[in-house]
Amino acid sequence: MPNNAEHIHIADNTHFLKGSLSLTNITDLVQFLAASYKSGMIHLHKHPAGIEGKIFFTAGAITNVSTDELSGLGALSEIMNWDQGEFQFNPDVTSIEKNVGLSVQHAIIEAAVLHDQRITNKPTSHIDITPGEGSGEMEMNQRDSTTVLNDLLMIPGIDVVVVVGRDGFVIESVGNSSRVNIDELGASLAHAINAIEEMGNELKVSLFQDMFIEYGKAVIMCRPVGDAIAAVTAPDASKLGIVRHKAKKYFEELVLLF
Amino acid sequence: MTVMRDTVVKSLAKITIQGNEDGLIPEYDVLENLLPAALLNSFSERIMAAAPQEKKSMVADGLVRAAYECGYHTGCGIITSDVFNDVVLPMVTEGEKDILRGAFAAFTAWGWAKSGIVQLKAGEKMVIRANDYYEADSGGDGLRAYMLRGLCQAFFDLTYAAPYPDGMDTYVCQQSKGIEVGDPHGEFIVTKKQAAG
Amino acid sequence: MSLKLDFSLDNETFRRYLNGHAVVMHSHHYLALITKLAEDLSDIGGPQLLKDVVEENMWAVLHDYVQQNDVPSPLQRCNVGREYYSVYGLGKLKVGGTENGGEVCLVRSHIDEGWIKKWGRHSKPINHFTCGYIAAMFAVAFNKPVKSYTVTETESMAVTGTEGTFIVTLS
Repeated sequence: MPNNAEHIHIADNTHFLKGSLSLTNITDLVQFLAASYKSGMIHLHKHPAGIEGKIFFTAGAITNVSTDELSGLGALSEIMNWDQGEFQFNPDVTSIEKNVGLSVQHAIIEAAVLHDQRITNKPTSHIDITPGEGSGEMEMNQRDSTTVLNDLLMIPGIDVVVVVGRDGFVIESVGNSSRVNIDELGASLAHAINAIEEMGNELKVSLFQDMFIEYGKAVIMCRPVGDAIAAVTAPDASKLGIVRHKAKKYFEELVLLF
Repeated sequence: MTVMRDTVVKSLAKITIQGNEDGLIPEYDVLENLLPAALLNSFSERIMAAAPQEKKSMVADGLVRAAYECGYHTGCGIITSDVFNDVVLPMVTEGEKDILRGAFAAFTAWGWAKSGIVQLKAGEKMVIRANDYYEADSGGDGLRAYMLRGLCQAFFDLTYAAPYPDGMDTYVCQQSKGIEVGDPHGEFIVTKKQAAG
Repeated sequence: MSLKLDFSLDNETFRRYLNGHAVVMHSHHYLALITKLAEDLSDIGGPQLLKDVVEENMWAVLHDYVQQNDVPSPLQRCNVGREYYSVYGLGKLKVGGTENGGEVCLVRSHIDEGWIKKWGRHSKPINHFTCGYIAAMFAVAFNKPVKSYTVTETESMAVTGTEGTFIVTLS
């Protein structure tokens, strides 16, 4: 549903922050504003389509998102992938209507999931693989694991990527791993994952899918990839949402390799 | 729970062996030896260099064969030994896969290769990655981790072929990457041996 | 045993070291097949190549030891070689000789006993490995370089099933 002006109460239209979407990642911007506990609205214009979008915050939480065509998480999911256009943040602009009501991290993750679902339903995908094939097969057109790990490492906020066997064998690692004993990290992850899977079995719930461990500002994110476990460490936990969103396709690619 | 590699490595790495009063090391149902890695590398390098072109593949096969039979017979002794029973078997919950995990932890602990399983398709295929192995220091041309090829093949035979000693030569191992040729790690792929003819 | 044994482990790679030299464990199957490979390549000098490789590598190990531990006399140096042989699990040697050569009796043998375990007795001596080892041992004992001694296996445990004899002569 298009955004409606009468839902907006403008308290102060002083321009606070503006820029180009080709230079600024919208997810990073949203996380930055949320971390600053801002209230206000990001007003976006997508080029060349000329579509408008609005994201409203109240005290660091996203309350309302809309585009000319969508509203709520669907709109956020759409906006997160705009890479051409302009944005402008207007502080203290609030929306009367609430169509999201999630923390920024949560909203980004949910929007990322929606986006991925849309991508999966399209005939072509971002990466040249066929998700869902057996993890034991190595196809000739697959990229090798080192390439995929290096792509993961290019995601802003990730400083180490490691793939560990269920027995704790460090299959491969890239990144700034000098500050950690990578073998110890592998063993610790395997022990933790095994304990979590045992718990899942005991509780008769679904298989383990994700694990996030926060240590102060830093976070370790783990996912099963085939018969192995991939983990990334991010020194800044506030980037978790974007890291998780951007890492997803690479994790899916790794599933086919291990 | 599965076999935890660090537990196995830490336990087995403590074990040191040396000759008894007869100068022999009877362990794992075989006679063991403890030789300088440089000597073994040097032999591989020089016998390969000495062999004429038409014999090089036969010599390489011979080097793999030596490790294969060593691995097959000693490996059987290892996975039925008291130490393996004590350290590895209590953690085995995934059958053969865990036995193999334990075996590659033992490979690491005993200094053959810091290696582990990357992919495993039970009874069909296994991909092993080695981040360090003594043959990586050897001189020569091309992929030349003959010992590790033989050991990978032997342990897959022990795990998935007919019971010892009837399962020999069911699988074959090829090396696809090697530290000795500049790759970041060694990679070894075990598959079912194609029938001759 | 008077030999000082310093076993160590690299905690990163798990490679093992004995007195600073990387060592690795294998079984009699391995050395038996390595020996057989050398035999099968007699046409390109396989047995001699095996002897040479062993002599050069063992000379380096024994020489390092006697240098680092300041082993003064040929007798003591020879004993270092004899004891190392047993620590390596290769068997038990009795050594007699002078700078000009000597005779070594192989009382127990990893290689010969391993060969017999694997294939039974053989028709000719096969312990080229020990020939190279003894050459290195004598060279280090008498402060000489490699290739100073020629070693011939005149009686073979792999043939007789009892003891082996090696004759050492100055090259």
